[in-house]
Amino acid sequence: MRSQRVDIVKWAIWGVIVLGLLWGLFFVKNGPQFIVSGIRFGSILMLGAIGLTLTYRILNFANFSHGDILIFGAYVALTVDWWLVGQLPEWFPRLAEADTAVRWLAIVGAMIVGAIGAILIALLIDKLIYSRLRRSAAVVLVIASFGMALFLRALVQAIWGVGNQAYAMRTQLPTFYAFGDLNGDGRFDVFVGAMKDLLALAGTARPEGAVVITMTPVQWVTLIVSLTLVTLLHFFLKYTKTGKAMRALADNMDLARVTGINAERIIRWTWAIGAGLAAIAGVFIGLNWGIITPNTGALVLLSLFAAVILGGIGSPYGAMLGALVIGIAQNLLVAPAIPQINSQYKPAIAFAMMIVMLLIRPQGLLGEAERKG
Amino acid sequence: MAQIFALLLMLSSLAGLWILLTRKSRRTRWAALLGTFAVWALLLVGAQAVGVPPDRMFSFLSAFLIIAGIYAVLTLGLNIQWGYTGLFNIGVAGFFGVGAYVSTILVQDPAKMAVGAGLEGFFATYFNQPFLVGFVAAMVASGLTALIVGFATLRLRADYLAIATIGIAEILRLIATNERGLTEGNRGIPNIPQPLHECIVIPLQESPPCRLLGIEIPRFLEPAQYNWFYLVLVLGVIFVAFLALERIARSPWGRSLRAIREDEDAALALGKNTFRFKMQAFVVGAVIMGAAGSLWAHFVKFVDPQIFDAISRTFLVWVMLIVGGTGNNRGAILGAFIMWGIWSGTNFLNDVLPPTLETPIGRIDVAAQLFGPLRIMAIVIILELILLFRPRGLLGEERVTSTMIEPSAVPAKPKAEPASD
Amino acid sequence: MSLLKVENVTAGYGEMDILHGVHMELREGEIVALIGPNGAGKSTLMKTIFGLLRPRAGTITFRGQDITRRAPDQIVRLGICYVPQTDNVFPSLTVKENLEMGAFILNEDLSGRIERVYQVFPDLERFHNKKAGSLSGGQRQMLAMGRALMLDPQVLLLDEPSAGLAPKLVELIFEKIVDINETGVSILMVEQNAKQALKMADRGYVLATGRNRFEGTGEELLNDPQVAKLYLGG
Ligand SMILES: Nc1ncnc2c1ncn2[C@@H]1O[C@H](COP(=O)(O)OP(=O)(O)O)[C@@H](O)[C@H]1O
Ligand SMILES: [Mg+2]
Repeated sequence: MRSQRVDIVKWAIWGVIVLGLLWGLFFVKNGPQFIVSGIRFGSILMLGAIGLTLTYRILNFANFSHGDILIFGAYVALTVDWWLVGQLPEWFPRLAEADTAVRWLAIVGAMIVGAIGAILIALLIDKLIYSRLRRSAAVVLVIASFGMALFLRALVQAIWGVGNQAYAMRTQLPTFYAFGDLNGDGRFDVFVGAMKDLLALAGTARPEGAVVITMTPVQWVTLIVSLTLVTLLHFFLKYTKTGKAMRALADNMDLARVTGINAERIIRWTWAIGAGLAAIAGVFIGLNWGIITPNTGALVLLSLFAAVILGGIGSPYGAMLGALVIGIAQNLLVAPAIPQINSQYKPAIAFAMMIVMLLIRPQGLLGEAERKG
Repeated sequence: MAQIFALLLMLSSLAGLWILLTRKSRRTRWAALLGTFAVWALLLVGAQAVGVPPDRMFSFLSAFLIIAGIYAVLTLGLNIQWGYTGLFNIGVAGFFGVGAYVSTILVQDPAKMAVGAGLEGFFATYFNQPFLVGFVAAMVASGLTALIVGFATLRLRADYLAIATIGIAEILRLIATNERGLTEGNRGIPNIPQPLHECIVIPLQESPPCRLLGIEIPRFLEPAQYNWFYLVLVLGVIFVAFLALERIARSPWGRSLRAIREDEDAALALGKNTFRFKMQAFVVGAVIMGAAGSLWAHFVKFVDPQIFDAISRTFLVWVMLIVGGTGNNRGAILGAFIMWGIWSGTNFLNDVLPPTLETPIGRIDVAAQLFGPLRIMAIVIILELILLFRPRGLLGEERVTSTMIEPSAVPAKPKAEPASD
Repeated sequence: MSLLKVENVTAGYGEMDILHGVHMELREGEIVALIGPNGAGKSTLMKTIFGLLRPRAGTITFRGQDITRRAPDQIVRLGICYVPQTDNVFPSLTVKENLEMGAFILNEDLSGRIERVYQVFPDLERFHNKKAGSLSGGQRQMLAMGRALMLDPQVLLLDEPSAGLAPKLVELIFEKIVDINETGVSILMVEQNAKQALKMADRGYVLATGRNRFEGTGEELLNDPQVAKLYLGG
C-alpha cells in the first residue's frame, strides 16, 4: 500500500513538471526563450551536481566544499585565461590578427588547466583530511568539509581578491532563431540570423505570435559541451571498468573491497571527476553570468544541493534531471512569469523546491528509499 | 600602549573565567572572581601611571565581554542542538540574523531613520516597541524558522538538516538584501535603540523623568557607562540560558536527547518519538540563537545583511563549541570567550603587519586582501586539527547527566567502532 | 597439506573482543564446515581471515605465508575469495557486471571466465542483464558464489550460503558447493543447516561464544551426542 501511495506522489511530481513546462511554453511571454536558458543553466548545474552526488553516494557525506572547489577551479582558469590571451599572439604571430580565435583558444586552455587545478586541490584535501576520517561518523566529515569550504573561499580571496572578475571572452551578439508568421503573409517562416535582419523582415525583434530564441556562440558552446560531458560520463559509468567499479563502490564499499577493488583508487577517481566537472561548470558560470566572485561557489552550492535532492541524492541521473528542472524553474519563475520575484531570488526558488521535495518525497524523483545513517 | 593593556585585560578575564568554569570548589571560584577584579584594578592603576586613560580600556573591556557574551549565548544554543542532540545546524547565522532583524524592525523608532529611508514596500514601517517586545519576538521568529526547517528535514539523515540550515541562512540573507522596504537592503538599519538607554543614561540636555510601569526611574549612568548595564543584561541572559540547559541536561528529556544523539535507531526501538524530541531541541536552540541576535542588534545599534556572514556567525560559533567541548555548557561559554579573544585579538596583528606588500606578482594589499582570509584559514586549520586529534574538545563532555548518580560511579563508556561495515 | 591456518586468533569490533584464541585449519581439497549458535563469532572469523577486521593477537597463514594483517584486495590476489553472509551482491549492477567485479584485479578479457560461471549457474546467464537488486534470494546467492568463482580461487570462504533459502534451493546450493569442491577448490563454509553441512564436509569445527568447542571429521561431529544435543537440535 505504502509504496503505491509514494508512487502516486512521484507521478504527481512528474505531472507538475510537465504542466510547468507546458505553461512555460505557451502561457509565459517569451517562455520558450526562458526554457532554453533554463536548459542551458540546468546543464551547467548538472556538471556541478554530479560531483556532489557521487561523493555523497560513495563517501557517504554531503560535501559542503564542492561549491568552493568549483570556484577555485574557475579562478585558476581565470588566471590562465588572461595569461594565454596575452601569450598566444606572441607564441603564434599569425594569431595576432585573430582576436576572437585567441580568446576562444585561451578559454579552452583555461578550462583544462582550471579542471586540473580543481582536481589537484580536491585530491590534496582528500589525502590530508577526508581519508583520515573515512571511518568517522558522517557528521564529522560534514563539519570538516564545511571548514574546507571556508578555507578554500578564504584562499581564493587571498589570492584573487574579493571583487568581481570576468574572463577574457568578449560580449557577443546573439543569433536570433525565430519561428512563426514573421512577415505577416500568413505563412510559417523560420528565421536564423542577426537581429537587424530580423528587424528588416518583421519590423520588430519579437513579432506577435512568433517564438523567438536568442543564443550567443558562448551559450551554444555551454550547452553542447555540458551535455557532451554528461553523456561521456554516462558512458564512462556504464561501460568502463573504473566506472563500473565506481558504481560497485557506491553500492557497497565493503563488498567492493572484498572483491578486490582498490577502493582508494576509485575514490580518487570520484574526486577527480567531481572536481573536474565542477571547475568546468565554474568557468561556464563565469562565461554565462559575466562575472565570478569568491562567493559565487557558495551561492551555486545551494542550487546544486537542490538539484541533487530533487533528483534523488546519490543518483547521478537524478542529479542531472534535478539540475534541468531547477535550471528551467529558476529561469521561468523569476522575472518573466512572475515579475514580482526579484531575479536575485533564483537560489531561493531552488531552495523552496528542495524543501517541498523533502516534505513530500525525501528520496527524490529517481532516488531509492532513504536510509537513516 | 593602550593595546597592550587591553590585551592584558582580556587575558586576565579569560584566565578568571577559565578557573570559574572548570573548578568545582566554591572557594577557588570566588578566589578567581576576586583575583580577576584585583588584576583589573592593578592594570587600571598601571595604565594610569603610564598615561593611558582608563576609560578607553574599560570601554574596550566591556565591549569585549559583551560580544564574547553574545557569542556564548549563541554557542549555548548550538550546544543543545549539536552537543546534546547531534543536530547538525550550519545555519546558525540565519537564526541569529532573523533575531537581529525582527527585534530591530519592532523596536526601531521611525523618527531615527534618515529621511527617505525605507518606505518602499508593504512593510515600510518600524514599530517603536519596547526592547522586551523585540527580544521576545526575535526568539519567536527564530523558533518559527526552526520549526519550518525542522519539519522538512528532522525525519531524514543528518546531512539534510545541514543542507537546509545553510540554505535558510543564505535565503534570509537574500531577503535582507532585496526586501528594501523591510530591511533597507545593503544600506542597513542604523541607530537602533538600546534597552532603557533613554531611561537610565543621563542625557545631554534636561528632559522629563522616565517612567516605567508607573515608577519613576532615576537616571544614573554616564553615556560611557551604559555598556556595563548592557553587560549585566547579557550576563543575565547567559545565566538564564545556562541554568535552563543544565537543568535540561539532567532531566529525563535531556537524557532522551543524548540517547538520540548516541544511537537514534536504539532510541526509536525504545519507543521514543525521536522526531518530536529532535524538533524540541532544535527549536529551543534556535530560540536561544534568536535571543543572541536581538542582543547583538541592540548592542552594535546597526544591522545589515552582513549579519548572515557564514564565517563569523556560523563557523566561529562551531569552533567555539568544538574548542570548548560539545555537550558541555561550561565548555561552550569558555570556548566562546577564548575564541572571541583569539579572533578579536588577532586584529592587533593588522596594526603590526605592513599594510601593503610588494611581491613578484604585484602589490598585495595585506590589510584588505590577505589578513582576513589568512585568519580564517588559520582558524579552519585549528578546527581540522581538533577534529582529527582531539575530537572531544578542550573540556570534553561532562559525564554526569543524572543527579541520582555519583560522578565517580559513572564508568567511562567504551566506544565501540567497527573496523568494517 | 595445510592450506589456510588460523592460530590463536583474538579479534573483535572496537574494544570488544568477539573471538578468543580461535584456531582452525583448512587443508588442500577439503570442505570444512564451521558451525555454532548465532552470535558465536563465525562471521567475525571469516571477516578476520579476509582482512576486514584486524586481529588483536594470533596469526593467519596461507600456504605457510603469514597473511595476518593484509588488506582484502591483497588477499584476493592470493586466490582466496569470500562470499559474505549478507549484502553479497551489488544491487544496482547487472548480473554480468557483478561477475566482472569479481575479477576486477585481472586485466584481461573476462568472457571465458564468465562463460564458465554460467555453466555452473545456468540461471545467471538468463538474467545476465538484470539488476542484481531485482533477483530472488537464491539467485543472489548463486550470483555471489559465481562472482567469487570468477578468479578461479584456491580457497572459497562461504558465509551461510543457504541462509533464508527454500529447502529445494538449499539442496541445489549444496550440490553446487560439492561440484565446486570437486574442481579442486578448498571450501570453508559457515552453516546454520549444521547437519547437512557436516554430512558433506570432510571436517568441521564447532564455535561457541568465540571459542573452539569441538572439532573432528564431519562424521565424528554428527555422531557426537554432546554436539548433537547442543548444536544439532537433538
Ligand atoms: N559490525 C559489528 N559491530 C559490533 N559488533 C558486531 C558486529 N558484527 C557482529 N557483531 C557482534 O559480534 C558477535 C558475533 O557476531 P557474528 O560473528 O556475526 O556471529 P555469527 O556469524 O556466529 O552468528 C555478535 O554478538 C554480534 O553482535
Ligand atoms: Mg554470521
